[in-house]
Amino acid sequence: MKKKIIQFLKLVFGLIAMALILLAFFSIRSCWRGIPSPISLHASFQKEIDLTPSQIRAVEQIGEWEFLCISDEEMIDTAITHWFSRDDRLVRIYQGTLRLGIDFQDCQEHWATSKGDTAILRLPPIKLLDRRFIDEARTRSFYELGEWDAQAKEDLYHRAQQTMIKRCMTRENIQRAEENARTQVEALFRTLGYKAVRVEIQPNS
Amino acid sequence: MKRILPLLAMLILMACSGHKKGEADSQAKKDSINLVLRISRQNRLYTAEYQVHKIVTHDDLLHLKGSILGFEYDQKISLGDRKVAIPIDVTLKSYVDFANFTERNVERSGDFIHITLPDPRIVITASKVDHEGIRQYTSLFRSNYSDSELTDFTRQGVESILEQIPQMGILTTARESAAQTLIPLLTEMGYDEDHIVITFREDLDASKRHEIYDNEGSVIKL
Repeated sequence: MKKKIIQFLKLVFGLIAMALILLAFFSIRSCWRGIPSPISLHASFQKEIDLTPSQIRAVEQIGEWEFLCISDEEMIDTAITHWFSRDDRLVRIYQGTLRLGIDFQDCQEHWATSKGDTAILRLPPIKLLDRRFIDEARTRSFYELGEWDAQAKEDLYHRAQQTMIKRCMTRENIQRAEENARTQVEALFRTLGYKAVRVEIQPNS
Repeated sequence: MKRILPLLAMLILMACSGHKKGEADSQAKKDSINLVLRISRQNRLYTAEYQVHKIVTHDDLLHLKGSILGFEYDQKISLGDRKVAIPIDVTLKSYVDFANFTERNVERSGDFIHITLPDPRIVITASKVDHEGIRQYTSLFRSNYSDSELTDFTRQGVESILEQIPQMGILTTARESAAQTLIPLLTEMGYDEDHIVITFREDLDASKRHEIYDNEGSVIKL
């Protein structure tokens, strides 16, 4: 009985060895001659996402007048240093578009008046219209080593947000937006038929 | 032994000097580099905002595919599955661009004013991943999804929202909101509400994405 089992195992291993030799032979032959192999094997993975519905959670009427648009890109990284192994590191490149202008909600009562052919407009201070300006969908993961949790990625997002605000909300950019606001508002009201337009912008605190 | 001890001490010192300031076992280092900054002057009136939520899912099945002597085969390996669900929130805004607004857009007759506004356009102004809400299920023989893979799925998810814009009825709301924003402004200027007419071009085809979607100002390019 024991002898039969050994013989059977020898046969199985022999067949597997022969199959492997044949596979190697055909692969080498096809590589050598440049012809497709009669035996091929490869793993395939799905790259595309599944199709799922989108849900509109809120619709809101707003009144935001944009005068300056700044597109920014920041590379933010974080690392955890280990004593006896390689450092964990995560480097992401964030993209954001900061929009500067006025929000009609900030306008005081009778902010737009007219006297004969003259339009008088008292605009609220120029501000960042929306603090949600980062597009995480366009974030590029530049380098990743180690396992990173949700908190680490949230921290990176908020650091990118702060860095962009600091870099873009400068005195010069606010002045640029104010100058453009004067030009554009004046042009619009002249188009509406006013001969003279007076624009006052409240200073940014 | 006398020779080994100083060598060991040196090794330990070297290991310690490689670690910044000799703090705890691990510490976070942070840095940031600015890459691009582009500034452009605008004259846009944003009139409506939409918050869109989507759960992007990806089901990664491992398949072994190939052929043996002309016979094709495709075998699903059940031990190689992994799945991920990524909740994302996208902010869409509709706006009217006054950059090309001219006297041809305005008709005045006595106390009456008729304004034909430029076509409203839609732009994605922000997208945010709910990192805490991401759920991953990985089989024993597969690695977790990398950060690069997750960002790629998020991008695909936002692009799929763009496909659904024509069905969302956003344009109608955008037009109504634009009128509701401008009418109070004109009444402040002295016009009677009944004497103000605001219209839009009627032949705008909402099914043509390139006509309503702002490719240039948006964070997602078509």
